[in-house]
Amino acid sequence: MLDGWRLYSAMARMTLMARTSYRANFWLSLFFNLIMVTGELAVTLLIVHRVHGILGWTTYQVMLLYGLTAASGGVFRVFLSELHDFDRYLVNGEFDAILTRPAHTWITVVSRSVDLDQMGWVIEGVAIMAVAGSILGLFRHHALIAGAELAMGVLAGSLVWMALVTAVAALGFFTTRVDEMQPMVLYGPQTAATFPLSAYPTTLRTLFYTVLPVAFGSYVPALVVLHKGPGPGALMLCLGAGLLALALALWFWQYGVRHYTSTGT
Amino acid sequence: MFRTHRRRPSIWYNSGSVTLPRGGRTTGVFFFVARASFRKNLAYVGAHMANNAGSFLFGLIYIALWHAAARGRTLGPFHAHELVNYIALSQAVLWVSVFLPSGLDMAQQIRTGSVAMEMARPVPYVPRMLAAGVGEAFYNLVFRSGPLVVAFTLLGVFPWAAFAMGKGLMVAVALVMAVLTGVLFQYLIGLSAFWTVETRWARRLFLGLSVFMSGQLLPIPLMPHGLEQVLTWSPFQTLVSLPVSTWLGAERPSAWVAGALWVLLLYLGAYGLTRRAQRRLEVQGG
Amino acid sequence: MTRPIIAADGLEKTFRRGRGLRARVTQAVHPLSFAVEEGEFIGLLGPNGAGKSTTIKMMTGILHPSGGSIEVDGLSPQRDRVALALRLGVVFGQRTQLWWDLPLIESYRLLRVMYRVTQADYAARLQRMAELLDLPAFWSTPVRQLSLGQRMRGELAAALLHRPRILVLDEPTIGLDVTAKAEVRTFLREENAREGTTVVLTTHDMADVEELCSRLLVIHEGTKMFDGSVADLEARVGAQSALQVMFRGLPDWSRSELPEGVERATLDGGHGAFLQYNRDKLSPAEILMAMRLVGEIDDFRMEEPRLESIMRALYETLGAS
Repeated sequence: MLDGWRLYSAMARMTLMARTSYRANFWLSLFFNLIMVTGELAVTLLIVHRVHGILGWTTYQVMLLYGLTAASGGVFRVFLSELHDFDRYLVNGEFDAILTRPAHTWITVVSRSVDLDQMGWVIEGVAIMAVAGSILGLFRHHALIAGAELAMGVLAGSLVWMALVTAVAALGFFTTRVDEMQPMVLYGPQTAATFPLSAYPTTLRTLFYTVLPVAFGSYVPALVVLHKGPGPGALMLCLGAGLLALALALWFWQYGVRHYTSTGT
Repeated sequence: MFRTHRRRPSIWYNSGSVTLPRGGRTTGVFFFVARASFRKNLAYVGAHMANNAGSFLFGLIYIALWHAAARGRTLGPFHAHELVNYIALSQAVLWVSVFLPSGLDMAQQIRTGSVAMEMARPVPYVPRMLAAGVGEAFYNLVFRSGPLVVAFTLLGVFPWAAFAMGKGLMVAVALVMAVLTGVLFQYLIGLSAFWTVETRWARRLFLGLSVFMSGQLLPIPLMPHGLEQVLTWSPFQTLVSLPVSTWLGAERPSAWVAGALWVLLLYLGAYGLTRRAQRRLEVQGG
Repeated sequence: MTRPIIAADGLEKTFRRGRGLRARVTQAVHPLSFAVEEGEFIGLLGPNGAGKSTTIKMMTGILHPSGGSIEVDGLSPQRDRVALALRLGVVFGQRTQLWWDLPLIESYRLLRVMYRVTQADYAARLQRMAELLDLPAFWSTPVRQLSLGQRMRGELAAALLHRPRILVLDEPTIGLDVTAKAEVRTFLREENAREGTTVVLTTHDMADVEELCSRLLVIHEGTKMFDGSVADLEARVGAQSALQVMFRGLPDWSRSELPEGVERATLDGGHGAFLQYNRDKLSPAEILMAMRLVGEIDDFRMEEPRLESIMRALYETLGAS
């Protein structure tokens, strides 16, 4: 555990050093991210606005939900970008080299890059939450508590996304086409999480509480923050669910590594 | 450079596994190019089905949303069940216009320098790459849109009833325009590799804008008034809104005019920029 | 006798290619058993697709065997992968283990942390590597800008920084020029002799084998075909020497039989003849005597037995079987 962390921090430092030459890219990517996030947010909000709220959720409440999803989704894009782009490890046998390293394969892969270009998601997600939260008056009385609750929500969400991106990468050990499976395991659920889950039929909702447990990463934390039912204790449940999901995903990863076939003979 | 090659009849042309024998007609070449793009995808049908399941999930999410949100109401020109139909259609159409291979693999050609050789082939470059794109779109129509249409039909949300016979031709024309617009956009994204290091920004910009401007999730007539006016005249509306609205009988004449104009403009743009790129290539010596 | 440092027992690997009804199972490695003693420099040889890489990948924990067992330094490469990785140095000639965008020296700093090498050990080790491989000349250059020869020197240092007990090299000289190859070989021989590092090498360059390997392991279609020294191999296949004879006029082959022991004669239809023979059975003088009956000899040239031609003869007999 400690070794893993030491290795991770040393590698992350190196990656950041190697990236200093791409400084301009950071601002560029922030700008393009802004366009994407704005477009997506606008569609989400316009839909809610057009129908005067969905199932008791106002436009700004949905905006908060969106910010929560964007920020936690950004965390995995920054720190687990190698898993997001895992195909190349499998297609040209790059994973061979990972397996000759004296550390957990997941740590070794993940620590190979920190994608600061994706920071835009986190920054914009937090900004969206701040704006929506202020308009909703969340920070008027117990600002610190609301802030802490949102932070815990982002943390729980990050764990859930990390679990999903790990699981879908591990599926690659069997199919070698990670990119084709990401829409179902990552992007679809991510879009779903930007709306109140109560809008979906039972089957979908069950899916989002179990196999693709995105409910614990955005919907449930948002319910707590917006005082829509569950008390703050539910946040602990969300964190627990996130940790459990990540543990299961890592177990699946280990199982997948056994089936890694390298390339050629 | 372009013109001199055009005068010569094609000799040998290789694309994937297709070899056109001596004396092939230029129009025939485009068919072979398209067919090669179609065929090269056949090896990945299995993997693509997983992606289809993702598209289906997307569709389900938005269908559920509109179902819950509109519930028996009429919004703009659409009744609640038509909005559900709209999403099902939109998910199928996206695959032939928006979700085409990024930059038609031109970025790769440009990075490796093989583009100089490709441009020197005896068949004009722009229409040839467009033909490759059309081949991709046709593959997507059969193996991406097809399964989605089946799935949505089984779910009972695919609007077969709205598809009257007389409308068939109109829908077909709208779809062709959607494909052409989508392929032209990808061509321009690929061509941008001549001037920028990475094409992924152009690709993201295109995807980001199309979420909002093509009407894929929120139909354009349901947008606030000013925005609606602007978006009706954008090239993005041809990608999804035009064919889907035509199918549902809710399109406006202005959408047709805008769509046709943009296909022309994008083609001219592609042609002009390609010539500039060629000149650049000659200056740099490949 | 001490316990072998690498021991494979009935090692097998099957691959499943394709999916569904079209799935096809190929056996890359048939039950394969061998043992490597500590300090040996062993060459793992065989034609393309023989199963060398698969064997090496099972040895290093990259692939899981389908059957049999393998033990390296008392550990299972699969179960104790991390522990073994600390005692193993690996170089894949066709792939880099270094950080592409970073100066070479930064890769070493990272590897130090990764392989838990103390600062003192690291400094001493790096200094020795730097001297032997002349690293300082290029170690502040990003890896992607290095020449292939420089990169390979960098790779070797990277693989040996943590003083592994076993060094595994998969085609380390591929694509290198003559000078670079010589440098790499000198370094490897030195390392093996001084540190007692066990080395397992795959290569298609027979000069590597002649200069470095104390023992050969030849595999073909996943089965062991030969295990022994270069001299043993010569004895088994026959020392393939060659003699090239040029005649003054056109030779008349009806005047004499080819002597017993000439295994192959290539006649060019004109003045020349290229004769391959088994040195144990026949001397060049005996051949020349016979050739004088055929025609007047203008000139001749002898070629010593080369591992390359021995291996070719071996592969050809394998292919024929």
